[in-house]
Order: sequence, then structure tokens, then C-alpha cells
Amino acid sequence: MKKILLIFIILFLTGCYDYMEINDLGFITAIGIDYEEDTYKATFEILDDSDDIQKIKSESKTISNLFDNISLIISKVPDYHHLKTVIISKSVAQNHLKELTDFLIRSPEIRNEFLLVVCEGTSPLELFKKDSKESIGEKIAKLIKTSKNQTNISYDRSFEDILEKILNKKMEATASVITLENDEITLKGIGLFKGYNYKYFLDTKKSSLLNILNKENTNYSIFIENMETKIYESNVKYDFKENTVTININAKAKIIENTTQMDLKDNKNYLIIEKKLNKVLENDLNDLINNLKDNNIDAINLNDRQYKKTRKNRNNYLKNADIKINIDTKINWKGSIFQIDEN
Amino acid sequence: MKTKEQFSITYFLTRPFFFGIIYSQIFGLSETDSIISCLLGTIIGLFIIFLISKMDYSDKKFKTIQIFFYLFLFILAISSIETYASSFLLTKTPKIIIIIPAIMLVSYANQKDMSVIKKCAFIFAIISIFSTIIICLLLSNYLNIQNILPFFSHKPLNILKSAMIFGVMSASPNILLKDENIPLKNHLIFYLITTIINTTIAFLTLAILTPDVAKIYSYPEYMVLKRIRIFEFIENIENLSVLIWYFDYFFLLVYIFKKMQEIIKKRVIFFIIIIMTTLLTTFFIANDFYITIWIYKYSSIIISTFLILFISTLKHK
Repeated sequence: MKKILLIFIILFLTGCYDYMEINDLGFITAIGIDYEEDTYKATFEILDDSDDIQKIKSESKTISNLFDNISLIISKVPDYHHLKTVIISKSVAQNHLKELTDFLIRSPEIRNEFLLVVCEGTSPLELFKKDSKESIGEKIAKLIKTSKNQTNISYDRSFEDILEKILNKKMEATASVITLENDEITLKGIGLFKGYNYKYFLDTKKSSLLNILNKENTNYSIFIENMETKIYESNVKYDFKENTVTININAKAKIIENTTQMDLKDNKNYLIIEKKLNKVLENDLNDLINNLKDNNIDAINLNDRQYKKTRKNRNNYLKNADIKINIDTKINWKGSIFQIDEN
Repeated sequence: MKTKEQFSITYFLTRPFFFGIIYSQIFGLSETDSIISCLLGTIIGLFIIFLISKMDYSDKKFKTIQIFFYLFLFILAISSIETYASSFLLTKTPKIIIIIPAIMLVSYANQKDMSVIKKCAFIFAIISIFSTIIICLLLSNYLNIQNILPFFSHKPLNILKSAMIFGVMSASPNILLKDENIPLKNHLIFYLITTIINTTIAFLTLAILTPDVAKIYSYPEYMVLKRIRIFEFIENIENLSVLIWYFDYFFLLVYIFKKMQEIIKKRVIFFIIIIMTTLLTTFFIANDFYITIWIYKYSSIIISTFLILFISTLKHK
């Protein structure tokens, strides 16, 4: 009896039923989705056992068919476990993100760890037309990651994080925006959503400041009178008193370039630069906040932050809030020289 | 029975229904207050464990109730295994093929002496706890405590409901340990340790996924495992990590088999009941989400009814 049982267990426990040879799988690393004339159009970037990267086009009225239709073209079973990037057009981001989100998170084969990127100015399908040996999905993912430490204009969070902000009624979601410039994929800034609907994207300056206010990452270049500085570290704290919000920022800055006559051996000059930096940064932050207020998009999640501290549910909190900014910048890096032209 | 074996079996019989049933219901009801529910649920569970120790259902008329109770736990366990496996792991395999090896493995274990099962439980408990610690450490990198704030922001009734689900669903399988002669003090301590481990998992799941995302998933405790990434190149290990939840179901099923066989002496009848229940669950419950969801939704109420029936034996003492 025991032996019979063991034979049965061996036969059944091997899990052959769902077995799939790796050669039969097509690993999808990126998907570009557009919506035109009531039809979803997509390009799937597929890696398989050959060296080439296949790009398969699909069209359908529904999202599920869009994904199913690729099996009509390739002889591989699509595998979404290595999906890196989903690039959506402006029209999908504006009007069809809810349907797409439902499909993506419902499907157990798709890991929600991919990056969701909005493509402005051109159809995401155009990105895949370029004949390249490099995977578009990998390239965009790397672009977003490296931008974090350089220009700081990307949103380096997974789709699940975007979803978290969409589902939380006190938050607004953000996503990286890319475009095709001179035939090269280029980062444009951070796109803002209201619920499931994409609204617009912030320019590079504002995107970088948004990342500072959201405590994502700090890297912000400021030019003051022939001197280039960079805010590279910040500590942002929000203080709430009814409708008044005080944003306290302690920042650290570097001097990147100095062609002024300012003597950097004189410690008093650092105080002058810091004062100027505070002023410029305050103005720039006010610009960003006014932009968000005008569009009524709480991308800095003020409502959620105040709710967690005061437990009061307030509608249109950002729009009605009186926001004060206190900045204290300290320069603690000037490079290996004081200045090139000594007086 | 050695203390370490007492701990192992209490550990395994407290955990099974957390996966796919307790967590998803608690997160849906209490959201940010789920941790409060877990703590209240632990107190309720401790009280149930205390009541279990005082129960005496040796009376013949309780045998039938016992069988129905064990069968309900059996149905809940196998429908949970089938639903999860067919949704995430073996999407093309028919549910009956998924469950047959599990039932065979349990039947094989059922032939072994209780001491063998307890020794196995101890080894698996070490693996399970060690894996849980590793998983928690790997996930701690992604946690944000702000995600579970503020506390006490949901309806007290919802917090209480989810605490009841936690307490009832985690403590009730411990009825299977009634005749194991585990000292009450030990049983309470071991139950407490297990619920602390499971509350930590709930905390991590919520603090990483956020309550808004956690509540939309059927298996949030599985979805959070997808975040695990070691040195940026080891990923996709959620299907391996999820094994820890399968050990719990294995020991629960083994104990259900053992206890049912103690009541149904004739092996043929016992196997007919098991086969019929398996077929019924596979083809009529796990294949029909109207019934599956209904059972998940009301499982705590059904189990509470059984508990009340068992508690009524207290008067007979």
C-alpha cells in the first residue's frame, strides 16, 4: 500500500502538468501601449533563446485581447515575470489607466514591480521602431535609475507604488515621462495624475524639486551669478497648524563651478552664498507649489501628511493651505580648489 | 511529548488560515488598524485556548459535531490550497490533480505514528521560523511605518470584527490538540509566540504594500513576497518563500486525518468520507467562486458556531 502511495505521489508531485521548456518561453521585458481610434495598439519586446530582440505588434479593442493576440504572431509562450517597463501613451494615461491597471494587477503572471512610464509627444510604439541590440525596457529602467543621481527628474518607483497613490484618496500619483528627441529616448520630467487620469508633466526643474519635497531624492542645481551650486542632501519636515503648513528644509550644497571673483577662502562669503541659495530655492519651491495649487494636484501629498498627523479629513487641502517655507542651506563641499583666478 | 514538539504543533495548527483567509479579511476590514485587530485577536485567541483546555466533549453526541467540525476545517484547508495553487502556481493544472498529491501525502503521513509527525513538525517548524526571519529581514528594507498610520481611524466595530476573525480562525484548529496533553501555560505561551510572528508578518505586509493596496489583493502576504530582492539579482523567489504557508496546511490536514480516524474507526468509511469531501470541495466549492467566497466570508461565523457547541460541554463537566 505504502509503495503504491509513493508511486502515485512521485507521479503526481513532479508538477509536469504546467511544465514549460525555457526554449518555449518568450520573456517580455517591455510593453508600449497606445490608444488610437477606439483601438489599443501595443508593441511587446520579447527576449528568447536567440540573440535577437523581437518586437511584436498587437491591436485590439480590449486590453485582454491585446495581450492574447501576441500568441497569433509568436510561437512562444509569453512570460511576464521579467517585465521591466510598461510605456503608455498620453491618451492611455489620460483615459484608460484604470482598465489597464485592473488587467495588470489581476494577472498573476505579471509582477507589479515594473516601472510605469508615460510617453509624451510621440507614440510609445515609435520607441520600439529603432533597431537596437539593447532592450528598450532595460534602457528606460536604467535611464530612470541613473537620472536619480544626476538630474533627479525621474520617479524611480514600481507600478505598485503608483497604484498605492492612486488608491489612496489623499494622495496623487506620479510617474516618469519620456519622449523621443533626435531619435533618442529622453527623460522629460515627472508626470502628475489626478486619480487614474494623467494631467500634465512638470519641467526638469520642478520635477527635481518635487522629488525633494516628496523626500524621494535630492539633486538640484542652482546658478547664482556665475556660480553653479548643487543641493545634494536635504531633510524636509512638514509642520501642520490648521490651514497653515510650514515646510522646513535643511539642505546641504556643493559648489560645482565658480568663475566669480568671490574669495572662497573668506568664510563670510559662504554665508552670502547660502543666503542667496535659500532665496532662490524658496522662490523655485513657491513656483512649484503655486503650479500644483493652480492645477489642484496634491503631488506633494500634503493632505495625506496632514491627515496622518492631525487625523482631519480635508478636501482640497493643498489649494486652501497657506504654505510657508523655511530653508536653511549649508555649503559643505567646494571641490579641490578655492578659485581659479586668485586676486 | 517534549516541549519543543508541543511548540511545533501549536505553531503549525495556529497558522494555516492566515494565508488567504485571515489576512485578506482583516486588511479589508481594519486597514491601518489591522495591527490593533491582531493584538485584540490574540487576546480573544488566548481566551479560546483557555476554553479549549476546559472542554470535555467525550460524550458520544459530540462525536458527530466533532466530525463535522473537522470536515469543515478540511474543506476550508483544501479549497484554500486549490484556489491559491490554481491562481498563482499551476494555472493550467486541474484542481483535482493539484489536490490528489496533497491528500496522498497526508494519507501517507497519517499511517505514521504520532511521534514521527511531531518530530517532523519540529524540523519543519525550525525551517519555517528560520525562513520567516530571513523573509522579514529581506523585506524590512522596504517598510515604511508611515503607511500604517494613523491608528484607531476605522470603525471600532470593524476592528472588533477582524479581531474576532483573527482570534477564532487562529485558535480554533487548536481543538485538534485537545488530547495532546499540552499544559495550558505552555499552550498559551506557544500560541502567543505564533500570533506574534503572524502579527509581524501582517505589520510588514501593511507597512510595505500600504493598506490601500493590501486590501485589494486576495493574497497580500504572497504579493509582498514579490518585493524580495537580494543584491539586485536574486528575485522571483516568492514561489519558494510561500512554501512556509504550505507546511501549516500539511500538519493541519494530518491532524484532521488522525482525529477523524480516532472517531471513525473503520478505515474504509473514513477514506470514503475523505474522498467524497475532496471531490465535493474540488468540483463544487473551489470551482465555484460564489460558494468559495461565501465560505471564506462566513468561515469565522461557522467556526464560532462550532466553538459555541463545544463550549456548551463546559456545563456537562
